[in-house]
Amino acid sequence: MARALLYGTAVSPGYAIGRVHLLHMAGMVEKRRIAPRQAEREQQRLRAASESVREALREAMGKVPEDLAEYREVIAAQMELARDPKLLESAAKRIESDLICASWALDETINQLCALFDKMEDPYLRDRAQDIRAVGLRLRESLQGSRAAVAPGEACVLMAEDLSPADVMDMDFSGVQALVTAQGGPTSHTAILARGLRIPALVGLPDVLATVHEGDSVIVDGVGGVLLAGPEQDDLAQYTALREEYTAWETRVRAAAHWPADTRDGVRVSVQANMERPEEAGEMRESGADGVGLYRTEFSFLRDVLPGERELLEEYGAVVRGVAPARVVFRTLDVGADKMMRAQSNAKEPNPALGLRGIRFCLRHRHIFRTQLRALMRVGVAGNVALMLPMISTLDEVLTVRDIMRDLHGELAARHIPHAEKLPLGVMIETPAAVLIADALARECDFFSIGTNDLIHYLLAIDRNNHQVAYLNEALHPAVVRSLKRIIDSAHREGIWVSVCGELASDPYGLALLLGMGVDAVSASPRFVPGMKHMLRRLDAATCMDLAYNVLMSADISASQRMVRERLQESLGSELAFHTTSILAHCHE
Amino acid sequence: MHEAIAETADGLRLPLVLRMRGGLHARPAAKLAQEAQRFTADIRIETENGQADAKSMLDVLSLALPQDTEFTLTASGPDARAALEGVAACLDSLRD
Repeated sequence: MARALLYGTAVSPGYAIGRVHLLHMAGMVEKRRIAPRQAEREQQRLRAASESVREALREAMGKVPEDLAEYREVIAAQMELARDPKLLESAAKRIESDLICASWALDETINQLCALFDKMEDPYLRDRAQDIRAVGLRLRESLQGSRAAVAPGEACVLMAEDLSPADVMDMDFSGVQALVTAQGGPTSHTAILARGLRIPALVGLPDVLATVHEGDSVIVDGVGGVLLAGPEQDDLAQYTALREEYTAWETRVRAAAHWPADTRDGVRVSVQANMERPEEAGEMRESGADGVGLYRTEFSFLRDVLPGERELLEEYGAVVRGVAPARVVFRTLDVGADKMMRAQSNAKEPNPALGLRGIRFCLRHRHIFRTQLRALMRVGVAGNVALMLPMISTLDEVLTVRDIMRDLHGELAARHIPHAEKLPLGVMIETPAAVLIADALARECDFFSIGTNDLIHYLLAIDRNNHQVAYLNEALHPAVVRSLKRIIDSAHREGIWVSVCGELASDPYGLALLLGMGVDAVSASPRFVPGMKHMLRRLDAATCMDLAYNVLMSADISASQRMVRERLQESLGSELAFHTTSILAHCHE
Repeated sequence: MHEAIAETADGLRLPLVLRMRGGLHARPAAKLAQEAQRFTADIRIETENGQADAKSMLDVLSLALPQDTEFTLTASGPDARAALEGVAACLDSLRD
């Protein structure tokens, strides 16, 4: 085939060169008309398919690891769907009335059911169409005998529309070199699976199945986010070399992930992980992270019904136990009215980024906030816990939260419920106002955490959803660099620590600069942790301080970029490319 | 609770209220269908907006029952009473 480049989202790093294997022979529904006397046989085949799919799912279920309860539930629901009377009876009726084969009748039934669910108001129920399609696909494959399971050791680049938990569980991935899916994002099953297997993965390539076919030769670039179809000799040579270099580098980096990250001149930076689900604790520990610098608590709130205190306590307790003895920094609920559950969605705001979000939302909806704080204070006796408040723009907000916590302490003490009276309380510095009053905030707080993504948007007055102004998203803008320095200095003057938990922390350019400014901790997605630690060990804090000084003095963004790049190339050499794609190299969102 | 089972010409009827956060979702619907399939009786969920076969998770889900919905569980057939009690107990175990 002709050489073609397809761009997607890299969700697991690495390089692979191989031949495509399609998981589902998509789009090939057997459409055969039948004679009336054959109807019974087709119905019988349908029942048999239902049985064999249930059997396969049951087997898949048995392989689900202990900590993936969520997978088990999805598969259990699919098992029930595979024998659903409504599904099977409608398809059986269709066979008889339309005189069509089982696959065809099934396909029509599945489409009709999906259309029904797609129209539903409840987003949760709407998503169930995915389960129905996944089960339909399995039934069809069983009917047509077309399921092409990957044989053990068979090397291939596995491609699919999307991967469901059952696909993930009942396949042998030992020979799979890379995963590529048309759908999905950074949190899809594909991403989680690929990271677990340590193979490169690309998601979100909508045209991939139309462009690439079974057996095609491809190169998967899980660093740059590119799928190269029909590579030429030069491409193959280039990527073979890259792959070898990358593999050797990765082995070295992972071997040292659990050691502290000390720079060449002995400055230790704590490298922590961001989390948002208790199930991620395993991945966090494996990454070698020195704790959790940001636990996002939004997940359990983005449903139709507010979580109760007990539910939250259970979630937070699982996180704290999973991460112990290291510390978990819980960020209190950071939603705006735009993201909030249905109960609050009547409050439509024209500009949610500047609206009632983060701490503003929490202080307005005190009952929600108090429930969360109670759960956090109670979990405070179970381990190493700190709290941080998002979207702070006044000192008053911090003082109010302290008042609420005092009040809750009285309440909990009166009921003899064990809890931590005082927890380390920090604030997110992400608004220009917070930057300018950082000195005052530092006197009232136990630590700062810089949310660089929002800080850049607010400082440079860019709407993150507006592509017209995306070019302004520039981490080396003097306004950003000076703010970072001001925040870190204000904190250190009051003797409190500063961490950075935005994208800038996992960016090699950002990390070098932050090290030079004296940041105490950085926090990023667990998959970046080994690389960040490795990079810090290769850097020299004194030289980075010099670099930071020069960048602070520079009003010219491209000169700053050049300075950082040169410094990094000197320290890291060719492996610079293996670190995450840089904010400087790409326009984000 | 099972004193509330009424006998009618069409079978047994038991009025209930759905006590589940966020309504009847996939997991409980799957459990419900599983339980219902143990019985030979025809078991249905009747609401103001329609009715569904309790043995079909898809049918139950497509009712999109929100929390606190009032509905009636009906059963007819040889093991109707056991079916109604079994399914009601199953629903009760799924409440939160």
